[in-house]
Amino acid sequence: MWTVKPLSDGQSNKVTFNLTPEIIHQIFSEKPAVRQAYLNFVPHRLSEKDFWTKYSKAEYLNSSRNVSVAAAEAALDEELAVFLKRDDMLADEARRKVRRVDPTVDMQADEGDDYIHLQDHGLVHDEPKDYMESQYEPFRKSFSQDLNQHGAVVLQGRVLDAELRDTRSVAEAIIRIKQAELSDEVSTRNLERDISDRISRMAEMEDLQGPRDPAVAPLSIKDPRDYFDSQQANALKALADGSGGERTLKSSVSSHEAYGSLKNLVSHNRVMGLTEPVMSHEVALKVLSALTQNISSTKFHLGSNPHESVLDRLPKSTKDELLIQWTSVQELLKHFWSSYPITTKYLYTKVTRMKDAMSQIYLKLQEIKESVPSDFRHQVSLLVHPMLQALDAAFAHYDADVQRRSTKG
Amino acid sequence: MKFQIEDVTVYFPYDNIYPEQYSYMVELKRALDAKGHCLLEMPTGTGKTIALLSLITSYVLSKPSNPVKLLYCTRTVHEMEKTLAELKLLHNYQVKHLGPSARILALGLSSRKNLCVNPSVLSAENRDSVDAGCRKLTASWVRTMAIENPNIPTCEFFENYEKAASDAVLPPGVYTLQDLRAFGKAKGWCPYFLARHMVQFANVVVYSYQYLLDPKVAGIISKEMQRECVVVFDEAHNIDNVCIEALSVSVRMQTLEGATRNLNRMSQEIERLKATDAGRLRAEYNRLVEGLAQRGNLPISDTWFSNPTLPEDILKEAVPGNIRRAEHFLSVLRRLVQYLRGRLQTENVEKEGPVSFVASVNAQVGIDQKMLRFCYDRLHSLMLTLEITDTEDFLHIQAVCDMATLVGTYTRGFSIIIEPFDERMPHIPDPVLQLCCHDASLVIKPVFERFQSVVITSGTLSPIDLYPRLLNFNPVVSRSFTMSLTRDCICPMVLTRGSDQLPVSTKYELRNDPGVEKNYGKLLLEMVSVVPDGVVCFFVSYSYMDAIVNSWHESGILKEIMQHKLVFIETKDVVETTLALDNYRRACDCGRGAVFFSVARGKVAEGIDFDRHYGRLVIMFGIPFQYTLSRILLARLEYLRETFQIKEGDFLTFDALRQAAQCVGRVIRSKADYGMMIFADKRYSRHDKRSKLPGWILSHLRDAHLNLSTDMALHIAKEFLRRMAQPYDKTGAVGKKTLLSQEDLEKMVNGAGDMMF
Repeated sequence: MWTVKPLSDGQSNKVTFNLTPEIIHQIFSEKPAVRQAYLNFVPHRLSEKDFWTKYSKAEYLNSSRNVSVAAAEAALDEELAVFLKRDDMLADEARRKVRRVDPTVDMQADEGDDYIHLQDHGLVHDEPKDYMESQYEPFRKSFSQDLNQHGAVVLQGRVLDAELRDTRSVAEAIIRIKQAELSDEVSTRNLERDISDRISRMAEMEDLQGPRDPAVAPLSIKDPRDYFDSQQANALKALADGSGGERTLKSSVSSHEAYGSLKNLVSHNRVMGLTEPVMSHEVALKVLSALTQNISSTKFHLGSNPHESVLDRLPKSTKDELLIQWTSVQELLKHFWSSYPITTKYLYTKVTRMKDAMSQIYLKLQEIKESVPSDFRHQVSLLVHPMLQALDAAFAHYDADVQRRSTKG
Repeated sequence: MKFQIEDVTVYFPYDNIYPEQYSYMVELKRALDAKGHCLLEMPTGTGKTIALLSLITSYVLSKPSNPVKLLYCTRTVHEMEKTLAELKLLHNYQVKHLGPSARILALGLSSRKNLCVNPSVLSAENRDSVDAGCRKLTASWVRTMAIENPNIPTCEFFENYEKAASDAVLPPGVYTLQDLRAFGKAKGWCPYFLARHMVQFANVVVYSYQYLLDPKVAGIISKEMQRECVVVFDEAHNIDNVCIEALSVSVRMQTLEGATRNLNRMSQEIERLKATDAGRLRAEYNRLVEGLAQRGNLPISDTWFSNPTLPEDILKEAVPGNIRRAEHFLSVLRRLVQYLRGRLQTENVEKEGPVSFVASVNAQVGIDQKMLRFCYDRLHSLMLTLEITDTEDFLHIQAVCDMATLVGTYTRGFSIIIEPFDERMPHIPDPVLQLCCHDASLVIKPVFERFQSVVITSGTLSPIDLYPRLLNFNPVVSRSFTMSLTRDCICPMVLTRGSDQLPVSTKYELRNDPGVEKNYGKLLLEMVSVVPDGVVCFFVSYSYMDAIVNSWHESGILKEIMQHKLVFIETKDVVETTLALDNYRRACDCGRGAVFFSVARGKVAEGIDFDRHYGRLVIMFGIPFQYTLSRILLARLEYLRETFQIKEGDFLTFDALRQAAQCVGRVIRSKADYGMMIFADKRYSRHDKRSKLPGWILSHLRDAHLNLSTDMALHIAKEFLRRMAQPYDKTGAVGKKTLLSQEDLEKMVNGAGDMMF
């Protein structure tokens, strides 16, 4: 926001504004009225250049904080007035959004009960009233408004499917996003329930309540390798179960008997009704823990005894190599991602270097995968897979960035 | 859990209880037994509300012969909802243990704007237009006309509610506003009128302060409440200010112009009525001869704000003869408006008491005290007779009549101040006549007299002996509780110097010093770089906040701050501030982190919580003193000195420090929570200022933290955050117990009252 500072050459009375596509995009997303005006005026009534000149003029007038001058200028020039006036589209949007806010911050609801501050009632507050004649009222803009709007836009994040260079398509893309939001809002109807759920959740005092069952175990990863290992072991276990243990349950019950027992069960239920609750909590918990035991037990076995890690079952040379590659991949990725966004030449060369190094490692990883004896191959490929994925993501980002740069010129 | 306090079995919906909650209940029970008023200060985050609700509902359950009703007053709608949600929890627990005999009816009550379910009414912009929109559909005359002419719209929800007549009741249970709306929608009944009707039968009613304190509203909503009520004012540290605001009126030129328009419109209506339906005016006249006390017979949809003076005897008096006729009354009002217009044209500041003001009105335009006193009721009656539904257009004349009634009723505790311009902008004429109330006890007196027990409670009522003087009552119990903490989860600091070791302060001389502004900016910048999630800043006033934010913007500090966290800011526009707060919360939720700039004494400081990650640090920039040159404040100080022997300086410091404590208290809402508080002003290091802070802050304020500079504060903050990130034992097993189970409690009670405090 407000990155556009007027530049003056110090000799003439001319000031210059520099607008880049990036800034224009920002302006469009933070000031819907400007966006709308652009779509309306350009190119029929104003040329692109004239439009931005007018905009800059308006910004300059605003920065001088002289409302009466702004009003006078606006009276002369209809298009300029659009920029100088308060943004009505924002106000509409605010009214719409305020119905959906978190109830704990809804100060508008409080106003409903406030009959003390009816017009002319209550004490006049000590704040000096900002005095404003009604004709100037629409021209009042405040910096805090801009700040809040900026924060809101940043929070929304940006997904833009248009090229930044083409101003018009940017404006249209933003409008498309806004419309999608609008239809989303209409579709989420269970808002009310959401709100009351949130209130009742807040009402409880957690620390007065005894421990809840089943207790949630907080995730505490002291050494990331633990996590890595246990996940791998898990996968292996599943694999082993899948291949070796296709145990067919031998059934000695004939189909007739089975049908009979089912029938009995149904008629029993019809007479007795279902028990309430249908399934007792203990049983449910038991089933759940039986099902998940695998996970916890492998974690337990591996976590407690470091010598039994999956890695340790691999040949020593492979294991060492894998660990070395792992650390170097981590290191490279860290440097790679920290250099974005690329703002200087130095960063650019650094990124290229990183990318080259990484592609070499990529090949090496492939080699390792191929070189290991076949009975370990699957395990190793499972271990290597996340590294390859991380590298792929980095390459994809690099390519996208290069492409963006080349189109930008 | 279930335990005994003397002869009462208390049902408490949790397995454990804090020791201070237990002692709170013990004190409260004493007050209930004595049928007297009480004043209880307990820090935020110790579960005041649930302790209070548990005790009072259990008290009623234990003594069925003595059905006490609970009126619980909150400041904001969300506190109302939260209280009801807690009550729901408690109610479920009690029903589970005691069976259906424990069932009660509890509901919240709010304005039409928050309860209405009719989409056509609800689409209106603000509260007043929702009220008026509702009246347009539900006023008795509109409904009569609609019977003849089906084209006149009515409200189907209200019609269904009326049709159901005595069947329209709420089954027992606890209803939040949300539940009421859902119930109303499901049944097709109007939730607002249903709630208002059910209020008289409910065991617990939760509503806004104003419904009990503001005489305009209290007259219609709360008049049926019987004496056997326990009234609770929660978060009541500002109650004296609410009281005086409720009886203050200001009149400007715009008000008088509006009033004149209103009068013209009314005289047209009278002419029209004379031609078409003279009988109605005559009927009104006859009614007035009998006295105005018939208000109770009006249909529920026609009720109006009631007389702003509560004393009962006035309501029983008959309206003076010379304003009974509508035309006469209008001409009295015209003369009054003319008189006020004359007074506003003064060149000098004038200040007088109600007595001399009334004398001067009488001398100049011949309206005596009694006529003045009846203005409001007379206007109300006339507007009903004229069948005026667009009530929001008539606020001006209502304000004038309101003022007339007040000056006609009270002879002390008020002053009339006429200022031709704001002295900070002497070149702009903006005359205003203010009738300001100085004596909070006038407003709250009817409440103390009417109800058997009034409980005033808050996290900050220090010094606790000042409140009985300000409100002029005698509490049977007045106690302040400390907080038992398992760990030092709050960390208050006093910052006196910036990073360049120069003093920082918002004192008048230093306020606009660029060095101070820069030091404040640097402090915030350093803090946002180490504190995770939310940071809240409070400034002493809007104008100061604007100035300093602009100066930070120009010097680039703001931009640097925004590299760490998003910035949101409170504005005078409620909608915008609400959205800013919502975005602030989302920024904290998603881990982006944010700073919120707010104003002490503002709406955010009053009603919004910044608990958990929504506020890990709060910085109070300066001491929020009131604007000491304000004539209203000076008049109030003078009154306090003469009537209650409270020194000016004492009152100002008390008032500023309670606001500061209120602001910083926003960050902590439970014991599991933690937060830092920085008082950034060198004046906080002085004992006379600091000692006015509530005990639970002072007890954590170490001597080493009393005179810090930015770098030292930064160091302490880092240490504190690291310490708080460690796991801890919630029961506080080492040393003092901070969480009691049922066994612990029984042991404690049997152990010969070996109290832990």
